[in-house]
Amino acid sequence: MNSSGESAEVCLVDDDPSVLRSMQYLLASDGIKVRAFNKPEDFLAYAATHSVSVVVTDIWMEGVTGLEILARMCALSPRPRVIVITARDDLAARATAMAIGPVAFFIKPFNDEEFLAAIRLALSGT
Amino acid sequence: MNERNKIDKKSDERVVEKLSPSNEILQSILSNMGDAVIVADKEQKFLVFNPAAKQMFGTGATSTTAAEWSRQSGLCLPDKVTLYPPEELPLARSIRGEQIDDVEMFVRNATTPNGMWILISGRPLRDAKGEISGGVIVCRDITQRKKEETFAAGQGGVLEMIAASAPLVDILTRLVLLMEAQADEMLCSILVLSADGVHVKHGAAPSLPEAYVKAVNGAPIGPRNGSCGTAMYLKRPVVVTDVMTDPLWANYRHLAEICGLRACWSTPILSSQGDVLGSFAMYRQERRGPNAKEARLTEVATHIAGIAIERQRAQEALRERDARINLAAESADLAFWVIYPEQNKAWMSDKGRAIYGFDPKLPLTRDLLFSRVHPDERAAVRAVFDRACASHGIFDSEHRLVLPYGKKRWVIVRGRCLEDEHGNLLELIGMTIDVSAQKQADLQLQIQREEMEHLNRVALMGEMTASVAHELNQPLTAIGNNAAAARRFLERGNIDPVLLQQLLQDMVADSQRAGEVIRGIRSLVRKEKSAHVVLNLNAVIADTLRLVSSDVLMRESVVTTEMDHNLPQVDAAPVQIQQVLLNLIINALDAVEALPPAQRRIIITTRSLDGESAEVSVRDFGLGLPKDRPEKVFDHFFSTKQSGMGMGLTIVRSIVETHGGKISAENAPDGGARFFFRLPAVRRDTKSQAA
Repeated sequence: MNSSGESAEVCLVDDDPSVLRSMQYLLASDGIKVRAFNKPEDFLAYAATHSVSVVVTDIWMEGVTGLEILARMCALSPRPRVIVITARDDLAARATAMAIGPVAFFIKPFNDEEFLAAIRLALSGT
Repeated sequence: MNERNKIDKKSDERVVEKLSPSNEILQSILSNMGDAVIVADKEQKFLVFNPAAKQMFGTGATSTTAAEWSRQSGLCLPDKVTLYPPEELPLARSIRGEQIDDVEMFVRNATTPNGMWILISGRPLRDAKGEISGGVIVCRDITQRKKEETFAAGQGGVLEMIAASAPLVDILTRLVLLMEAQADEMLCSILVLSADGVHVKHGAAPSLPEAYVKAVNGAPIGPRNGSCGTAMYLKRPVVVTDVMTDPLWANYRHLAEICGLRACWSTPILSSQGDVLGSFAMYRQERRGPNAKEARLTEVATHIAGIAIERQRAQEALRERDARINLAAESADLAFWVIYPEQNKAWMSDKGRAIYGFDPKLPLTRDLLFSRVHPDERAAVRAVFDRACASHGIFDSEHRLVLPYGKKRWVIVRGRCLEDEHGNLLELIGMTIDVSAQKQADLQLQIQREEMEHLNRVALMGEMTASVAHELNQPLTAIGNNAAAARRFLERGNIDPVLLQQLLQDMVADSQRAGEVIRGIRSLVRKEKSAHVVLNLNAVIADTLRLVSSDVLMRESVVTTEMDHNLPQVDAAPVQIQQVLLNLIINALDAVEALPPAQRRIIITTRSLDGESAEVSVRDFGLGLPKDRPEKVFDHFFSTKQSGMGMGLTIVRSIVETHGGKISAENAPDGGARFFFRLPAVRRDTKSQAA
């Protein structure tokens, strides 16, 4: 995979292996550096020791939900920019996510251009 | 007249003279023989008139001429009234040269006031040259034979009436008249014993005074009840030679006196089993007992009357039974039928004709009956019928009928073969029950149940929207991402073929996964009944939990399982078992919803009950079931929820029960509800077959 080196990596969190892998390919096709987590707990452990700038996370996962991840991200400094992807447009989840403040909220399946644009925006830090 | 007698006498002597010298023996024979012999010359003048002839035709017969003979001696044609035409008399005909054999004649004159039947044969007499010189006739008295013939014919007539099922009164009246004709001044009567065995009914007494008949009708039998009442009571003949003095007649003496009856001999009429049916009595206006001839007549009369009364009783009993059976049949939608397989003929009760749609008058055949059976089932029904006929066994079938104009009926038909005394198949008798109404209701119920089950499954899908969306969106998302990635790599022109292959492979796998999800949903909401297969309930539980995993997740609940790995397999429809589990799991999720997330626990357990059945229990930690009667939850329309029809558990129970299982509900001792259902294990042979 070609990585530009200077750009920051994006952390992907999804407990569905095939969705996770497809996102890895999609981001790779745009030359974005990726670190993928199949288990939310693994990501939280990683985030505790590493600096994370952009996180793409699913909401409904076994063990730890995306909302918990959002809450934990709020406590970090600098606060990572979070993009939420969910298979179901759940109003309560969306409201919670927005309150915590993610950059973008995507309902699966989503448009690749918009998704990549949101990630690039998040990576640019604005 | 005197002059003429003298001449006749002279001529008689002349003839006798002519004959006697040749043979005195002949004269002796003529004088002593019982048959009448008459010889006349060509002019029909009597030459011989033997003593028997004189007795037969009256004295002075010799003084008459042949022309006057018919009138003077009362010679009649067999109709007993028309005088014989002189030219047709056998003697006249024999003189004309005819040979006469066995001509019957009826004679009634002063010497035979009651009449006499005679049989005549005649021959012409010829002289030496062969010329006719006169004629001879021989007459025999056949009165007794005639009477016996008449009596026999009379009996035959009565028996014919019995065979033709004529009314009993007519038969008995004819019998009494026949008996009365056999003896002069004899009156006869027949009484019939009622079904109660105590009272008598008028049978026949055409010659007795009406007042007497009326007085006797309805009288009881007993040890001192006239001749008839006593004879029936004692079951033996009672001969009363003088009703004026006999103690048996104490109650009827006055009546008998008015009617001019003096002697009465009565004999009981017995059935073939020896039961008293009635009595036959002879009355006389003189004091005496019966002679041998009268005793024989009584014997004949009681025998024939017995046949008549017994037959009539049997027919009455048969009619009564028929009427009862018909009544029962009419009210129970039952048809009776008889098939004569050899003759291809059939009989059917009125109700049967109505059920099978046959015109009341239409002659029925076996083939016609079969033509009403539904074409799809005709061959099978015919096979069952043929088997029954071949084995002389029973016939049992449930099938459909198609009537003219397409009307259909469901019937149950049962029959059995009857054999004759040689063991040959005689007929097949049976009945047909119209069960269309029940079948219709059953079918309706079945459709309703299936519709309810289907509605419940559709409703369940609504309850699992999160899972459905999630399960479908995951593979679609992956496919979309992979496709977008491939396009991007291609646009950049530096695609690694191995990577491209990997992307395409993932897309194929995910589209298959999406297809599986769709199939799963489709099978769940499909209307048709799914087929039974041998199932491991543990596997069905795992599949079902996968189906609801997202909902469990979103409701922040936890479902744990404790599976028995030696769980016996069951024979069941997978979709229906999944439906049972989904209902129980979603109910459990609802039950724990109000609790804090940490307490939202559901435990699914399986265990084997001695290998005989498999038990699945779904336990929650919610508020529990109604304390008074936990089983109430299975009732129709019972619901504690805001939404929902309250049909879920009713349907669950119905599914479990149609699988031969049982479902119960109870409150767990440490809180919450526990639902458990058991399904019978498949038998080992079936199991090994499935494996």
